[in-house]
Amino acid sequence: MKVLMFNFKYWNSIGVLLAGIVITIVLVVLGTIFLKNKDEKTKLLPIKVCFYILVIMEIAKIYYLISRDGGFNVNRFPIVFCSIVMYTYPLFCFKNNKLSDLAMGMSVLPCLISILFVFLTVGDYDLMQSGSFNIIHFHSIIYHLIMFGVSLYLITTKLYKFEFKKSVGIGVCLSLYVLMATVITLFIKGDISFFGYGFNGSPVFNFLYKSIGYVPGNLCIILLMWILTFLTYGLIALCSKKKNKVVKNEEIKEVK
Amino acid sequence: MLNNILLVVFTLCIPVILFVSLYLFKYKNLVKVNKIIIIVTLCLELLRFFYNASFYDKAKTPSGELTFSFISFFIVFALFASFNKGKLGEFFSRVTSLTFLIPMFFAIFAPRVYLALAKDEAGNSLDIYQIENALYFVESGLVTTFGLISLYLYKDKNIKFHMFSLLFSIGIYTLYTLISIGTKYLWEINYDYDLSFYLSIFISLASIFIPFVTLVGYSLNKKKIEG
Amino acid sequence: MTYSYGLIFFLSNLIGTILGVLFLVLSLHFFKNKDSHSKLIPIKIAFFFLVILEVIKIYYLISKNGTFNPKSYPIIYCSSAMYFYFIIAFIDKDNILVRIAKANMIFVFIVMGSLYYVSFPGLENSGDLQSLLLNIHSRTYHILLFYVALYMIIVKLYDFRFKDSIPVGIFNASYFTFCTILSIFIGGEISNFGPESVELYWFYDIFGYATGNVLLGIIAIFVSILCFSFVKLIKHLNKIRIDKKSAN
Repeated sequence: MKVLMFNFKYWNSIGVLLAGIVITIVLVVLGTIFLKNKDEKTKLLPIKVCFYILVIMEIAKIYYLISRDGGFNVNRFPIVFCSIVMYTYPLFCFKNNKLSDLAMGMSVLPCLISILFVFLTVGDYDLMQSGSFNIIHFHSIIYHLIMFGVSLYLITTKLYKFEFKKSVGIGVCLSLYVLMATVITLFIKGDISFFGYGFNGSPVFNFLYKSIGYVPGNLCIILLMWILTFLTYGLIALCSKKKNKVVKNEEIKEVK
Repeated sequence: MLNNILLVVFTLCIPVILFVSLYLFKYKNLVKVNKIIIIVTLCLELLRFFYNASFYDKAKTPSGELTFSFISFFIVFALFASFNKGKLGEFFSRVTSLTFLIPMFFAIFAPRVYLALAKDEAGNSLDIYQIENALYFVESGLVTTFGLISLYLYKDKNIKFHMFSLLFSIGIYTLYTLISIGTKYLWEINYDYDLSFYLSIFISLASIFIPFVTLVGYSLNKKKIEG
Repeated sequence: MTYSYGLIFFLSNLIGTILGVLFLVLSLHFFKNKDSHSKLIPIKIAFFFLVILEVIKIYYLISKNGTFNPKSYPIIYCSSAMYFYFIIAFIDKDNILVRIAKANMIFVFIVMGSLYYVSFPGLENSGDLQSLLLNIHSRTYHILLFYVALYMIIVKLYDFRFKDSIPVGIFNASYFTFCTILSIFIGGEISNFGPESVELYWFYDIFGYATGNVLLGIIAIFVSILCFSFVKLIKHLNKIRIDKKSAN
């Protein structure tokens, strides 16, 4: 009997992504419920597992690309925006240090936003490219789903607490990343993440680069990132302040 | 038009981001912050100068590109203001606290100061990534932050102090304008002395009054509260 | 009217020597026995004088030629004197930057200044007025540096320490690296250390441009250690002589 579900020809990439997101949310919710009353070390265990999976997948992808193409294109280096998680996860899930809080912050908000960009570009993915299964696009979908899941997990298990003060560190890291991507793009004439220019064409920011120029465009993106970060953290801080105020007022009423 | 909008946006947003960050971390040593800001601005200005020079064969830059804009002079004044503890430092500190908006206003009416003029044979700009624009936008924002911090450090002085600062600032800017016009004449640069040229000078002079009026208003308000 | 090498050599040495001797004599007369803060006043005067000369030179060159050649940028090795005088005169602290400034000014410019008395010619001479003026400026500048270095030695502005040799060497090495990177970035020649250097082309032909500048940096560190060791040896011998005298 033919099981149509396992015939990839009938899947399109957006469908896979949507199905994957539903599965991720279910797993995250289950994980949060089961580990609700455990200590911090146990709560970090799923993240350690995810980190090892990501690194193994990345190494496998690099080996596959070298054997397929006979060389390693510079814009395949793990310095795209979404590779940032491979460097931030070990900073907080193995040993607590000065950068743990910042690393956790970089694994939460930017990763949630980057899933939007994946949605914008996943339409260009073709899982069944020229009749055979495209493992690179499949790897990309799984990678981004894991990233998305971990960021949700960090919020639902309350491992990461939003404070307005933390927004500055996040803003600085994001600005430094975009600046680094700009400088590398200018020097090697290759695209780094979505911040490349014209060489393969940035699918997302091309309209901005064409109207105001490449470097001013990237500066505008940095400015937008700061505004978004301040807004998000500010709103959350405002809501939690109001919540604390309501709880305090109720306690005072009870005492009276 | 877009470039002017971006210039204004960066000039206003960069100080906001820096001040919010300083407020959140409760960092109060504003003199040190000023020193760091001006050193960073100096590095960006040097980068802009050498990047512009790289457009020309063996970096032989034509004289028309070299009439330095006010921002270059502001950076020198600000270095004296930050690092010199004597009378010279105080003088330039008073000047920088009132003239920090000139780079933005001047550039709006005379975009020549930040647009790379070097072109290839077909007439296309050589600065295809618009790096000079971007550097000027960031410098304008940093210079505004420096000026606002200097303004804050002088807010409690009396009105006589502010009046003298105004005179010093107008004097320095007039001197700069005369040197700039004299240089263009001496180096035989055929500059287009049209309406936008005169407007840029006039509006830049007028921009000195914005921080001055703020300081005077604050002093009068303080007097009113104290009684 | 054309100006011969001999005339340029004689005029520029004369003007430089007169200015230098005047500076040394007047500074020693008024400031030799003053406190350490007042001893810096001649350095401030020298700084402003050099800066004004440099600005006039740059203005003159741009109005004459209509272009600004990177060789005229005030970032050649001898322009570091202007920045170091600023650091010595206006930063009244005993930190590593001031010490590097003082040590470099003394060790390097005693040698370079005195070389300018004998080097013939200093700059290219095309016989016209521009060559004459540029040569006079160049020699006056370098000879003045020699006399300022003499003043700093006599007045004991620099407190000799052997361990300053490494930072001085590292500063000179980083300067050569900076010249290399900048020359490659802007495609122009910085100081005598550009790819088409007239003085060092033979060196770059053997070792290559970037490697040659790195080698120069390493040589600078060794030369710095050597010079400081020489001074330390003399001080040591002097100390032995004084001890013997007092023992007798």
